[in-house]
Amino acid sequence: MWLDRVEKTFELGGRGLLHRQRQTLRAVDGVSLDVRRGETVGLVGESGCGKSTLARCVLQLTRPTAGRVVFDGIDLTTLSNAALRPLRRRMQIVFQDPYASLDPRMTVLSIVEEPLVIHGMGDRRQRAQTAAKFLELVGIPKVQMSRKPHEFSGGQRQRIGVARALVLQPELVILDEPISALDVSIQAQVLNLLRDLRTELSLTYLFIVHDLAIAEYFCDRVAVLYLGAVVELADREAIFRRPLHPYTVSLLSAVPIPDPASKPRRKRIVLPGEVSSNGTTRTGCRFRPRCPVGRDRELCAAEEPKLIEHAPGQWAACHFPGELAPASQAPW
Amino acid sequence: MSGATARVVSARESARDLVLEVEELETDFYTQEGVVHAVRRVSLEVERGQRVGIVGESGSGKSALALSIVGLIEPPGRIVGGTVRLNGRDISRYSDRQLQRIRGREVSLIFQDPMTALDPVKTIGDQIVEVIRQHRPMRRAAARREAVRLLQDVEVPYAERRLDNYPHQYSGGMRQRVMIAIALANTPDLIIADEPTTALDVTTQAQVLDLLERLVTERSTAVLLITHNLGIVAEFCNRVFVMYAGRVVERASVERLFAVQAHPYSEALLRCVPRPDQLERGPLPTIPGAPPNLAHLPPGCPFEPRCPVGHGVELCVTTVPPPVLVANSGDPVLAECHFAGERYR
Repeated sequence: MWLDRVEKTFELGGRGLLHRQRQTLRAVDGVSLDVRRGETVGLVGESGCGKSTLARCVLQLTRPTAGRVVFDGIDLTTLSNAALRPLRRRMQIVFQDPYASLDPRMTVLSIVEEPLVIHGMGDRRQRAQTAAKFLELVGIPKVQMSRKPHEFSGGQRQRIGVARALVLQPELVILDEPISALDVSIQAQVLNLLRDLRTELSLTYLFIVHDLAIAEYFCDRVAVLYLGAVVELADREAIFRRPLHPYTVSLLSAVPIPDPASKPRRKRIVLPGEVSSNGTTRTGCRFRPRCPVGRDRELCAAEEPKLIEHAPGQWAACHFPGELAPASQAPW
Repeated sequence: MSGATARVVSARESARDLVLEVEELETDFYTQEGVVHAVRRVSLEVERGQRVGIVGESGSGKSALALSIVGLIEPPGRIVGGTVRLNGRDISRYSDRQLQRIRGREVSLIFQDPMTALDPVKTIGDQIVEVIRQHRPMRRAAARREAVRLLQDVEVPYAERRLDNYPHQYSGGMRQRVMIAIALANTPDLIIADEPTTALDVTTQAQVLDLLERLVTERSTAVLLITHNLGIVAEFCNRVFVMYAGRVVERASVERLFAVQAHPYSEALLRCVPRPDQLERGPLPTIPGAPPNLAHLPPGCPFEPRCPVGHGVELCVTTVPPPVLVANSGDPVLAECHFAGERYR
């Protein structure tokens, strides 16, 4: 699958005399990204960076304003909803909130059966069998399958969400912060499950995550998003060991490390200000207002840096890549 | 507490300047499923200027403990036993009115979601002024100047102008700064912060924690920080209490706890967090099963069913482990595990 300059803009403000001038929010601002079969690509970035909107664009749950989303050679953006339907079976999503995404009135077996019904697969008996098989695969025992979601813990509910996404045997699964609502001991259980399933069912994951430690642990390649655009893209080792973009470096330095001994060795780069909204008026680099490297540089103010391959497989959108060194030595 | 440890601990106490002393605090929630023992006879102390982290998973009782300390438990919950001494005074029998005079002046609270703690129809300035004037006889204009100074302290840009904004006009990070400003308004001795940065992005979280650290250090304010994030504890706190099933099962200095864990639960908890500085990709260690139902606790150690050390061991199944002092030499470690002494050697 690959994305080619995908854009999604939202019109802000209501109609009428008071809102003569409409503002446009560029939630996703020209993202190009390739996802190879069998790999796990992480999308990291802070709230408002557009990672969830991008995922919705991939699935065509929201239609991109521009650009192409190519899945297995087919540009999804040109397809009608009806034409999309058979392709949707091959792309599924697991949502963040295991409490809100399961229908409380249905048994978990019928929740997992539902996608099979919608896509008209098999007869009643076969569907029940398949659903049960996938529930078992994620560790829900047979005796619990006629229970309702509220009878399960958060971790179990997320397992049910995973079973529902996988029951159609998709090729691409989007994981939208699937573990951030869970406790750490449960997070580890669900991560291990997702890892096992990836091998067993040869899945491709697009993993939206804000926890960088988890991204590092779980992904093959990572795309760092800032204000709707990819600012750095590389395999996980390069991102975490040799980051080039100053935003990646600052983001990594902000993560608290569970090791008090590392504190004196670390240099935290505290970014000034906050993520501003992405209007249409900006010139130059989108990160410049907060950038420790380019804040006062003319080039950064004048020209938007392009995403360029600076080292083999490592892409960064920065005029001065690598100038901000990551925190000295370990731990990153 | 066993006799020997009690003596050692009380000998130390006399030399310390304690802001908070909690003894045998017990809080129950009366639910349809029975009585949930959320806080089970917890004793703890916080010294002046100390930063104590309380870690544990959801349902371990850490938030209930915090609310119990300041008398903010609401039905169906009720504090059923124990004492809380703040600056040496027993506040556990205080009326709501008396407690109100103390909250904000001697002890302040910061919650995870500042939007629920702030009044949406009052300006930020009015809310800070109100807190200041509640505890100090001050004219409005003077209190307003004080509010500007506080907002500058927490690094809200254009403080004077932003005083007249409403909470919804602030971002999440800025609102949490306002909460810190309000918490510090009357220079309390203790701040209880319940997951103060959980709703924030990492870069904002780093800003807010750095800020909080600077401000409490300047004022020697003690902090009781409740969090599930062990990274934050390692970076912000100097002591840690690990909670499990309503009990503090291990207490130690941050340096000690992250180096060696006396309690198997602490060890398991630390191990299942992916370390950002370790590029290993094997399966993550997990803790099997789930925390016990606090309405129907097992007769022995609450961690026994999940414990890699004591699972199935008769002593652990039948007997609640007493706190064991496993290390002293000025940096004591207390753990509620039958095997703590053995494990620590």
